This record gives sequence, C-alpha cells and structure tokens, in this order.
Amino acid sequence: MGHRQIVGIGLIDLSSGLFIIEYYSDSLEVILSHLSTTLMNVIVDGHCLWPLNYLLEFFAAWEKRPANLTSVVYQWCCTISKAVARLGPGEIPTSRRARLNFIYDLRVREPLTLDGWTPHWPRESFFSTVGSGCDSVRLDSTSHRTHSCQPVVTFLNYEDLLRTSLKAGFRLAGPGHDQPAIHLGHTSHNNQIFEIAFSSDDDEVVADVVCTWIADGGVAPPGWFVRYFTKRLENRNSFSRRLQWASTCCIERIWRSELEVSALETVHLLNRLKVNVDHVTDNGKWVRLLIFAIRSTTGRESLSSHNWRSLDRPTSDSGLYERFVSRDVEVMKSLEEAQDWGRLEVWMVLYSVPVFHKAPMET
Amino acid sequence: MASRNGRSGSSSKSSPSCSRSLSFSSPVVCHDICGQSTPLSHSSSHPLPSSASSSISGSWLLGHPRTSVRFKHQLRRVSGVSETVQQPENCWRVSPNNVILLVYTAGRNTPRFLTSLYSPSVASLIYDAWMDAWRGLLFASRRAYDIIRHPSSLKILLSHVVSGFRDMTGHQVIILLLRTDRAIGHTKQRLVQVIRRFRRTLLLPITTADVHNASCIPLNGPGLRLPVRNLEILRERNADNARCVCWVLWTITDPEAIDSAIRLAGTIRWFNDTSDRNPPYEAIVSTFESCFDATKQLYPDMRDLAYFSGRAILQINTGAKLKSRDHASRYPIPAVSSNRYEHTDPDLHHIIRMLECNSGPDRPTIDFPTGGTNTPAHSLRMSNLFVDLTRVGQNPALKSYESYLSAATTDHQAIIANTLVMWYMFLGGHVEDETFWATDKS
Repeated sequence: MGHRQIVGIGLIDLSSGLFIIEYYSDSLEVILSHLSTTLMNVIVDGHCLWPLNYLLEFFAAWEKRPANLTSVVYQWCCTISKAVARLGPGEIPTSRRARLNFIYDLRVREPLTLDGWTPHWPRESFFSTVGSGCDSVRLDSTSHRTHSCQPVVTFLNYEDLLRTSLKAGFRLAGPGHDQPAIHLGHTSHNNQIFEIAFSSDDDEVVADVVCTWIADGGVAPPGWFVRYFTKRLENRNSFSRRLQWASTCCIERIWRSELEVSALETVHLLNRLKVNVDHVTDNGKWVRLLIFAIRSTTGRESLSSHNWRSLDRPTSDSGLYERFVSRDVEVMKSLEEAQDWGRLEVWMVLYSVPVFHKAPMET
Repeated sequence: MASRNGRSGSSSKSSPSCSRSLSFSSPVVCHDICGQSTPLSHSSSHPLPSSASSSISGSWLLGHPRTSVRFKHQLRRVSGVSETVQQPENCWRVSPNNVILLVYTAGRNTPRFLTSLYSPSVASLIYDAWMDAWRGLLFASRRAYDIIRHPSSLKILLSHVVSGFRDMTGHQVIILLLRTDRAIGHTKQRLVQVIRRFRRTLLLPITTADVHNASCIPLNGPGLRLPVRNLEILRERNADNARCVCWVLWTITDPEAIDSAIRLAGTIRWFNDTSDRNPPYEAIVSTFESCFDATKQLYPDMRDLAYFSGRAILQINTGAKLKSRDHASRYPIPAVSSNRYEHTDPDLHHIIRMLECNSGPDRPTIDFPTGGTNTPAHSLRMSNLFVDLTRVGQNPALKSYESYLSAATTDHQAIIANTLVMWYMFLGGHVEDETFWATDKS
C-alpha cells in the first residue's frame, strides 16, 4: 500500500474533554479529488471534451473502485447536464447526419458512411489521437481556458460523456451490489441528466440513471419515475434484464408517491413491467404496492391479470401490515357487480391473511 | 488568527435589518440567516481545538449571502421537521452536555472530507461549508448553520449544526458543532463507531453550483502534492546511485557489476538537481545492442540484460526530454523494430515496443502494458515512466486501448494511481515536484 496521511477527527464534549481518533486518507483519494476538479473544469470549459471519454472508460473498467467514486461521478454528471443546458437550441443536433459530422470532426482519417454509423464512437480507433487532440488543454502555462483551440463542442460530446460517466459511477452501484446509500444531492436542475439518459437507445444507460435514484435512497420528485418510464415504454416492448431489475427495485421504493401523483400511469407501468413477485426484494412489500394500486381510482379495472395473479400466492408477512379501509369494500362491491369472481376471490383471500386482522378497520 | 480574505468574525459589520440581538445566559451561537456576520461577545480568533470552550462561547457567525440562500433552501427541504422546534430558527443555546464538537483537519493539499456521517442534510452542509473554504471565501471566518433532522442511524436529534473554519498551522480545520437533544455519553460512542465505519465513505465533494461561472474552481491553487516518505533520503540515494552507476559503467569490467549497474540505471531519476551528471548512455546502449545478433535475434540467456538495459535507455531518454529537447537529442533511442519479438517475453517485448515508438523526434508515445500479460512490477515501472512522459511538453499519444483498460480491470492500485496522475496532467493539472519521487503513488 502507498503512503497514507493522518488527519484527525476529534470529538469534544464540554463535560468530559477531548479525544482524538486517527483518521487515514490515502493518496489515491487525493489524486481522485484533484483529477475530479480538473475534469469538471474541462467539462465547463467545453474544449477538447472527447478525450475525457477515455478517462471515464477507465473509471468504468475499474472494478474494485472506491465507494466514494459514485458520488464524485454524479457531480460530473451534474456538471455535464449544466453544460448541456447552456447550449443553444441550434447546437443540439438530432439528425444522423449531424452525428456523423461530429464523429468526422474527431479526426477520423476517413469519412464514415451513414451505413457504418453507430451511436457510440469507436473508442479503439480514436485512442491514438488523444495526445495530439488535447495539447491545447495543457500547453498554456496560465490556464487551459485561454488557449485558442477551436472548440468542437456539441450536444453529442456531452451526451457521450454523460453516458460514460453514468456507466463509471453507477454500473456497479445498482441492485445487487451491497453499497451504502449515499447522498447524491438530486435537485431539479439535474433533470437534464434524466432527459439525456432516457433519450438513449441503450437500456443500460437508462438503468445507470435509474441507479442514481436507487443509490440516493430513492429520492426523486414524485411522478418522475412514471413519467420517464411511460415515455420510454411508448416505443418499446420490453426492457433489458438489468433495466427491468433496476426499475423494479426503484418502484419498490417510491411507488406510493407515484400512485398518488399519477395512478393510472403507474398501474399501466406495473402492467408493462410484468414483475415476477419472486424476483423482487421483498414480495410482501410488492403485494402491498399492488393492493394500493387496486385501491386507486382506476386500479381495479386497469391492473393486469398478471398482477392480479401475483396476489393469488402465498407471500411473506413482512411489510404487509395494512389497515382494512372503506375503499377495500368498494373494490369488493365493484368486483361483485362486474361478476369478476376470480379477482374477487383473490381479493377476499388476500384479506384472510392474518396480519390484516391485527389492524383495526380504518373508517 | 488573520483572515486570508480580510474578513473575520470580529471585523465583520452587523446588519441591523438582518441580525438578531441575542441575550443568553450561556454561550451563544447566532446564525444570521441574511448572511451578515454579527459578532457577539468574543474575538473570533481562538485557535481550535485547544481552546474549544472559549470558541464555543464566542460568536459563531455566518458570512456569505449566497450560502445563506442555499441554506434557506436546505431549510425548506426539511421544513416539515423544523416547525416542531420551539426555538428561534436562527439561534440556539449552547450548554454543557449537549454539544459535540467535531473537528476535521487536513493538509491544504489533501482535500479530503468525511461526509454522510449523519444524514444527507448534514452532508450537504458539510459540502457547502467545505466549498466555501475551498474557494477561499471563509478562511478564518465563521459560519453557522441550523439544521433540523432526525438521523435515524444515530437515534439522536441533531437540531443544530454550526460550522467554522480555521487556518491553523498549515491545516484547514473545519469545526462542526452538533447539538443533540439527548445525553451525550451514548451518542459519543455511537459517533466514534460511525466515524470508523464511514471513514472511507465519501471523497471531498466538488460543487457544481456555479458551473456557469467559468472561474468557479480555482485553477491557480496548489498542485497535486502527495506525501513521499523519506524524500530527502530518496534524493540522496538517487544521487548516490547515479554516481555509482556512472563509476561502474565507466571503469568496471566485471559482468555482474555491469549487470547490477544497468538494473539500477533504469530506476534513477536522471538530470534533476540531485543527479545532474551525464549518464553512461553509450555503455548502456551498446550493452542493449550486444544482446542481439546481426539478424536482431536475442541471444540465449540475454533476456534480462536486454530488458534492463532497454528500460534504462527509456528512463534516461525520458529524463533528458524533461530537461529540454536539445538535451534529449544527446540521448537518442536506438532504432529497433518490435515485430520480430512478438513471441518473446511480454515485458521485454513491451520495452522494445516503447523504444520503437519513442525513437523518433515525434511526440512521446505511451504504449500501455497489458494487465494480464505483463508482470505487475513491469507495469508499475512503466506507468511511472508514463507520468514522466506526460510531463514532457507535448501530450504523448496513447496506444493500446485494451491494455490501457486492463490496468483498471486488474485493480493494481499503484498503476491506477499513476494512470490517474497522468490524466490529471493531460487535463492541465499541476503536480508538485516531490510527487514524482514516489513510484507508487497510491
């Protein structure tokens, strides 16, 4: 191991005096901190952005990364999103031709054809041009902002950077990875991150951005999750395995606010996700989610048979402490009126679970 | 203690419209939500933590309007809880047994901070506070924050947080006063446990609040400085080794001595202030060339000598390039082709590739060794050489993308550290000279 620096943390209380705990900070963290500052300067500056992808790919390949990298990378994402917000409307190309021109600008020796175009630029072939491409960043002894390098800054530079950043920070931070919740500082000004990530064709990129919610303990404005996923599902039949996993994990945490804000869309999303109860973290909690969905104004009619069947199975009792509310009677009545005997049976059986008897009926 | 920016708690002017007049029987901490500092009874220049009590009894005041705006936002986020507190929202009473003083110190060049100790809200406050210090706004001035939060992990009510900054004998000190609503004894133990558990939780957060302002992060601050143990001894040893290698290669004919000297030559930092002597370059080059026959085939049993002499050539050439381009022209890398050595030892093959691509006058080239194929010792030496190559005027060109990524995959901390330092310089970061003396920078 390399050298470590001792810094001190002292706890003092006025009655018993001072004691000190030795605290160690290793050099790798210091390097990372300095590098992060410089990297964000370059992002803000907007010059010679494309070599940064190689740096971010390095972080993404770092399997045993320090736990703190995730929150640091999220700051890079925020910086990128703010830089995107500064771009004018004309600087955000949407056509394939514009994307092609962007790639050609990256010192490609031979022009690419549209047929050969892929949304991600070929990293291997550009790697050898990194040095020649960013001399202007460091040759100026005063500041890299004063150089006269003509910027080749487009939305796509940032889009690619954001994708790689999310990969570096959150590819290993999702469900199944035992990491403590961290404070990422989601704020409304970070919407751009989600806008960009959800516009991606790559489900893994979307899964990465969903993991920002999960890593942060599920803190997100109510309605965000459903809004973004409903939009995404418009053009897709299914998600990748990891995105399915991440989205299920996320909705497990924030379903209540989503149901309150947009019940119908949430129910539709639940239908589209086709979650297998056996695959969720806590199936008792998932059943509770479905109960609340059915109780919602449109839930009884709209919830799919798949989700109804999920209720018709033994579940663990954990988290299923729900009061019997008047709305439950209304659900029963409506099922009876609709002569939907199968679902009524499920509903009645569900309320025979002992835990429901423990709580008094809510009036 | 003098303030770096000319602002200190005792010199700040109060604003009648914003500050509150407080009268407490016990020491008082005042938070001026409008962003004006309001000195109460004490001078603000008590060093901490040795005079913690007097500091607490002094005025812990706020400073910066922008941060106050941020803080208001912070308060709004936890407004549901704040309404339950029966106190003026911007001041609080300090008394024994309900204050914890948390002191964090770090060297100026070691921006390391511990957050997420208690709750996201506390972490945010620390974050904001640190950034103010980082920008040089609040050295030696004082700040106070209020926070109302229930950190479930600690089972205590952190009803208020006060933070201050000191510049104390070359160390930044950030002081957090946390008021708890319960007895402190048990809480103290819990805090110790939490600190130990979270000691590597978070790196210093870097703000993005002002990315529209291009100068938000100071560029002219101190460069990256990593501590190098026994630096003076390293310098002396480097000078001794340089003398020794020169003497052996110029005067001794014993093959074993020459072999040892060549091994050593590849580890010396040539052409710096401690070893400003001309290396026996011709002897090393001729040794390297003598390892191959006329058809450029490696002689049997000459692998080690070829490897170490090749490495010494690279080391000397890179050192010369760091001094000047003219100086480097005196130590040209011999022309060599790596094609015929593809099936030889991976480390030697890599050395020959490096010699081949750096033999011309073009920009330096970094050809990354492969993590799974090349030995860790070789990869570490090379990554250290890459750091030096990056210091040479122009940025070097990079080669071998897959090999480059393999360093991260194999998780060799020292190689990763060197690669990150290389990138730091790529992006315009400044590294203090002593940092380069550590081969292992992790």
